[in-house]
Amino acid sequence: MDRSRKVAALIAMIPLLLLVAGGLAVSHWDDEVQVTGSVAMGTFNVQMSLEDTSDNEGSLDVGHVNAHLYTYNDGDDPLDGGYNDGLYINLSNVYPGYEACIEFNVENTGTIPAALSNTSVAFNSTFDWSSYAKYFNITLYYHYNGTWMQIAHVDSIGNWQADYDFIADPLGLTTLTPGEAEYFKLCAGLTAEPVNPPESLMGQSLSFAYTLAWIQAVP
Amino acid sequence: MNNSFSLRKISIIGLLLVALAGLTGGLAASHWTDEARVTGSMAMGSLEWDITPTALSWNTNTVMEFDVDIDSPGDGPGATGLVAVDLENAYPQGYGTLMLIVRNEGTIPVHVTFWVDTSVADCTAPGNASATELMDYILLNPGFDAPYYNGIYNYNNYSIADVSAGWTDPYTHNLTWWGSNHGTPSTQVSLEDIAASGQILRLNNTPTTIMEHDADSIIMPGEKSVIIIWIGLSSQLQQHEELMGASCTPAFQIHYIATQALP
Repeated sequence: MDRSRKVAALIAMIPLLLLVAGGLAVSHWDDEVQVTGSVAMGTFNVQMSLEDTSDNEGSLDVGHVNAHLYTYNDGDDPLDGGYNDGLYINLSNVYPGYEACIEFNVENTGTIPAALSNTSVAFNSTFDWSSYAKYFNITLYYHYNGTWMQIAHVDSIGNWQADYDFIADPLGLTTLTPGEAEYFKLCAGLTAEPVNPPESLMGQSLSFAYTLAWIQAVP
Repeated sequence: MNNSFSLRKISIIGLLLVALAGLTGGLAASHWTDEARVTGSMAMGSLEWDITPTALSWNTNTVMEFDVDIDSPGDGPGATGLVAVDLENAYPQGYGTLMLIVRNEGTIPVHVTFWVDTSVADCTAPGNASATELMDYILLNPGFDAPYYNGIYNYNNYSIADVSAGWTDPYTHNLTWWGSNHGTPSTQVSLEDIAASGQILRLNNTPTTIMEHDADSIIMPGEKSVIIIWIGLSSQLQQHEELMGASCTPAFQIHYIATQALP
């Protein structure tokens, strides 16, 4: 038998050796402990509900306020169930001294805690808003211990100013456990004497978008 | 050999850092968020009004002549409607009335006030008579109002401005109010009184309320009201024949001012 035939024979034996080895391995007794798990994700969602609208008019009822809920698609997740996450407010025939307030609830309809992370207001107007901001009263209140506590407002130069540190949240106001709701009030109107709005505001219109951003509370 | 080992270690550490950064970023982005939005709009109203004389114009019972110039107000708070009254061929106990329609053409309630300006009086008299003395005997009620319904003045419902009750007449002018067709007699005041006492009609340059037919002295959007200006000459003018032929052009101006009513 020459050398090349020996090599060929060895190569041919390799599969046979593998089969023998596999047979030996299978022949071991074994057992299994199986952990079967499932992970069901929670849901994170806040919804609004309209409670009341009112204004400060008496018998001179010419200014009007109306509000309704709508679905605001914030684009984060189409599956977040963002139903009724928007509230539309319309104030018409506004004049100096007129103020309307809209009371609404924000409810955690998800299954994990939510924390208010930011509030902001964006304005769009047919006039130079920054020049006239001081004539507008736009204030956000939180219902706390039976009273309305001011937590944010538009300042005299049109910036949104937080009056309450809702990030630190020392009173524990702005964290919602599942099923919990917070009661807010947003008031808007025009100033009157001694800060009388100029005539140039007559007939003008202003729109604003007020956003309450909620974030999943860290465990 | 050492160099290649070092390079391998550095590569592994770099890969670990990249993986760690990705993991950290993933954790940070893993917070779920949602937003609630309040979308609002505010549309401002407007204050617009005007004053126009009615078809009645001056209604005199005599040959006494009045003339009136009316400047219609502009738009906006504080816009003034100016009524300048000329007085000619006046004689004792002559009188006349002028009716003005005030229309609220804006979208918010207005509150009409007035003040009387006698500083513009430009009077002439024959001989040595003091022309301005005529002013002592001109009586004026610069306005009370009556509701205006579909072109008909409802005189039964008008009321005289409360402020008129406070007017004083130190000269005890004896002028009979024949206003059976205009309701309850009014108290008049002389122009001299007005000029001498800024406390009567012009309180610290603050216009005096005149519109009173509503409880809140308000003309609502789309509504009209009427101002009735009454002017007469005192009977005491009979004792001053030297003033015969005197005239004032103008005798006075009445400034009617509309301001926005507060809620």
